[in-house]
Amino acid sequence: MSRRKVENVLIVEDSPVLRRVIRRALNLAGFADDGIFEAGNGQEALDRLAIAPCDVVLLDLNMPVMDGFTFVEEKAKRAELSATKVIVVSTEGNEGRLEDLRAQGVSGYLRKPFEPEDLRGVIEQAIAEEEGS
Amino acid sequence: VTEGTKKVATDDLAELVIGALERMAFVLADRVESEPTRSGLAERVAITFERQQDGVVGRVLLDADEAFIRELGASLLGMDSDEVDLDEVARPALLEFANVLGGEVVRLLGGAVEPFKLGLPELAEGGADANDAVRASFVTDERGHLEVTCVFPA
Repeated sequence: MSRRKVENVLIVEDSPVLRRVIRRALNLAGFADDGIFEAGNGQEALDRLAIAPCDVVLLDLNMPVMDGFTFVEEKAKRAELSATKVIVVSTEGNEGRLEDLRAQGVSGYLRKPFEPEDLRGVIEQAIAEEEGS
Repeated sequence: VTEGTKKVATDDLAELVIGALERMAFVLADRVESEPTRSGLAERVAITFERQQDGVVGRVLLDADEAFIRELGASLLGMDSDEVDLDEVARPALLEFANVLGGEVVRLLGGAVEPFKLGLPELAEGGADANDAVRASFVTDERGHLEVTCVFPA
């Protein structure tokens, strides 16, 4: 079986500095800069995905306008986005909420604060779990 | 965390801050017992947290000087401190660090099991002198100063 290649990643994060940090970490992990896109909240992310779906969404939860929980609910209503993997990157540590997110299709979780190399690992793990399922 | 009151002990707060700085931005800091001169800590941000079971609300306040926020922004983005723009990088970096610390404090308070709602980090004024507060001060390797205060409801 050929390994699925992640060609584009959407960073959904309200902090402009953290978007830059994540972009930099993705670059260091080997992701091409022209395959990395950004959104400042869940609504911007849905708008962006309506134009061009991405392989992976790195999703903050605590954001203004539309938070990450609502984004996950809204994404689940859109069948055309079913192939897009969602990885939560957040300070959220409540086990019940994280379990609910997994039940809604979230593929991975990375708790802030994280080290840059952790990002690549969580993306690869999410894709590997999809291949194994 | 003390079992009865569910408050963060000062030592726990200090360990949490030092660990988060190192993990998030590779910034090395030491706790200092004597508080730095408050007037030099011109940057203040805050984040609130609410325990959803009973609506109890607390707040984490960060007071920092320019050297600290420059160092934080520079370390996050791999820049030199003197290249860091205060509005574009340094202050947003402090806001994001407040977000991270808010999440860590909630975790210490039992957030893995009890649901809390974390607010959005914001610039703040006043409020650090509440009676029921825990405070710790830090100096980084590059002489940046940070003071972190957890304010609990009376």
